Amino acid sequence: MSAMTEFESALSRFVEGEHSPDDESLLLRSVETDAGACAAMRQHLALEDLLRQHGQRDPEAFVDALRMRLSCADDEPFVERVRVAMVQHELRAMMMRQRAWKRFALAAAALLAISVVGWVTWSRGLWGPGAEVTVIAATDAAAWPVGARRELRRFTVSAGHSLSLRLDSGVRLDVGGQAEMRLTGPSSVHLDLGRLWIDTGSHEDGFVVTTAAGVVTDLGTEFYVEAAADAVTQVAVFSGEVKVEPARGSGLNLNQGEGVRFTARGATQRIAALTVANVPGAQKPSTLVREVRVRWDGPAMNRLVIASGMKPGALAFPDRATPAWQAVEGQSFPAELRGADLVQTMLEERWNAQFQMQMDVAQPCDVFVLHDARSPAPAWLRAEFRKTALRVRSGPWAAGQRVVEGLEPDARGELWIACEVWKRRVPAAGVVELGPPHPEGTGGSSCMYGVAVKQLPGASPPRKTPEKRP
Amino acid sequence: MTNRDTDWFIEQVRREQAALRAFVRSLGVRAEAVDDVAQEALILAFEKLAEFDRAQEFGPWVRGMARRLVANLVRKESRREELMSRAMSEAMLLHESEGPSSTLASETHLQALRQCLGGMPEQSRRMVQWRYFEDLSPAAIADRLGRTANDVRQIFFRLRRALLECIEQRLANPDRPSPP
Repeated sequence: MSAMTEFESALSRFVEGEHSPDDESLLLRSVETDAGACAAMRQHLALEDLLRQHGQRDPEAFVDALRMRLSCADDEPFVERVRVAMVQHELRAMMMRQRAWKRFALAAAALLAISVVGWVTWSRGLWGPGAEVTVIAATDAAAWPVGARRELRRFTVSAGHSLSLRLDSGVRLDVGGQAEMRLTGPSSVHLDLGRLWIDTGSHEDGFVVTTAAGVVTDLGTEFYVEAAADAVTQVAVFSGEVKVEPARGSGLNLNQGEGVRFTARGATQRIAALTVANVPGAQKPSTLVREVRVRWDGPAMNRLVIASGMKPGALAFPDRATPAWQAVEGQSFPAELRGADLVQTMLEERWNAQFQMQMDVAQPCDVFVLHDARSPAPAWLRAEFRKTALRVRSGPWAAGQRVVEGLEPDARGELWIACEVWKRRVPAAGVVELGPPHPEGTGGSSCMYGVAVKQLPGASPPRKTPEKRP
Repeated sequence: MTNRDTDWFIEQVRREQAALRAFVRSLGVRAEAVDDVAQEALILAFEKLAEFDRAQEFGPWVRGMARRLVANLVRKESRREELMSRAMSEAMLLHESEGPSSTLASETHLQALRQCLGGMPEQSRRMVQWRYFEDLSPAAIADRLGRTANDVRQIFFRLRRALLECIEQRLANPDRPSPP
């Protein structure tokens, strides 16, 4: 075997990362003066890397990790979906506390166009043991009657719909469509696709969510899991702790306010943007709108106000998973609306001719009503508000719903509802009343309005609202 | 970016990723940092996909991005730990006159490498197994062989040189059987 030159010896150490400063000086001199030395060095390094790749057990892992980074390059959409899920969760909880949900569901059942959004297989043994559940809320009460008990195995929820179930163990599942999942037992669910909110309540530790990417085990908590068609799973934790175990690779524990996305191959990425500040419950309350009360055929209910919540992408109606407020195609979102406090209204309220909303505002402000441009403005709106030149739209809406009947899809095949923006200047603190969304006898397929309240330009922020006495 | 664009992009990545990673390594990026730097280059490429003429070759385009990325690493104090030696990378970038496809950076090279590995003597194959499948260090392999770590590094140097010659011969004459 011939002796190696000094250059070759130095290069053999360099490639292994075990070179000395003298080796580096020698190699540098060689590279700077001899193109052949440079080429040899690069070839050895490149070949060394190819040999490393040859030794990797899973050649697809690199592509898998990249795919995850590309699909999730921006945390904001996920954080926004988590926020939407939280708003929906809070509203449902609030409605249930006030026992208004039965009325809501009955009204929805009576008036909703009947469309089958889910199917249930009752054949025992086809999908494993399943679990006994009680339907506690559903946007399609015809398919999922509230209060019904079912033995559920595999089921789907269509895009734009939502479903809340309570297992006999006390665990509550909020499902956002489009979703496909399988209840695999009283303490476990397999999520093929979609968004799932899990509130384990007082259930003992160990509720398990499996996805194509791995296993998420609760350790006494409230958490959110989202499984995408490309097998990337995202998890957000709101209280307690969960354990995340990719199908391959090492697991990790997540605590309150933490989020992660992972794949079956064990590629994991922390979601930096998910902090407690993203959680609506943790946001500062609106100091402008002190209270909102809605009255229709049931008891009055308080309504959530999201401080500074009006922005492009803000959830339009908490009883629908996807439609959001957006700028009209080719225009920017109206600056006048951006950053206003967003007062939540429900899509299903569009049917109610007796609908009334009372808002107690703490200081002079502008109140905006985002009214479906297809529908004539009701008398109270025309009398007390002024129609502005501003326009926004809500969407995209799932096809087949009555609210989008007659709408033509845009160039991307999406359905959007154009809205006029009506404005009323409120000169002093007090109560502002809003009426039903449509003139009596009309409505039909038209949409509920949205509400935003904005502090007048130049006004100083109101002081914190004092606690109300019981 | 549509799903179809993403699918197309991922397909290109699947084809080019091995060559890209080897290329990144050949510019003096540490072995442990190669995947990160290569992915960073691919994310940049994805962001600029609209500017890419798909009639052109994807590999050289994305390697050009990787080259610029490594040049940035050379300049940035905070990221120099990803390089084996700032001065060496700088020098290699300067001498990279033949363009980004000048090293072992094509599917034909990889095919030839696989064939050459298959034709290696048993002892060499075992060494490759230890070093790159079991991730043993030269010192650990030296212990197994009763040799010094320096001996092992030299053995690997010669092994790589033999593989490079084999690849060259295979590319010149693709039908030639593997050497014993």
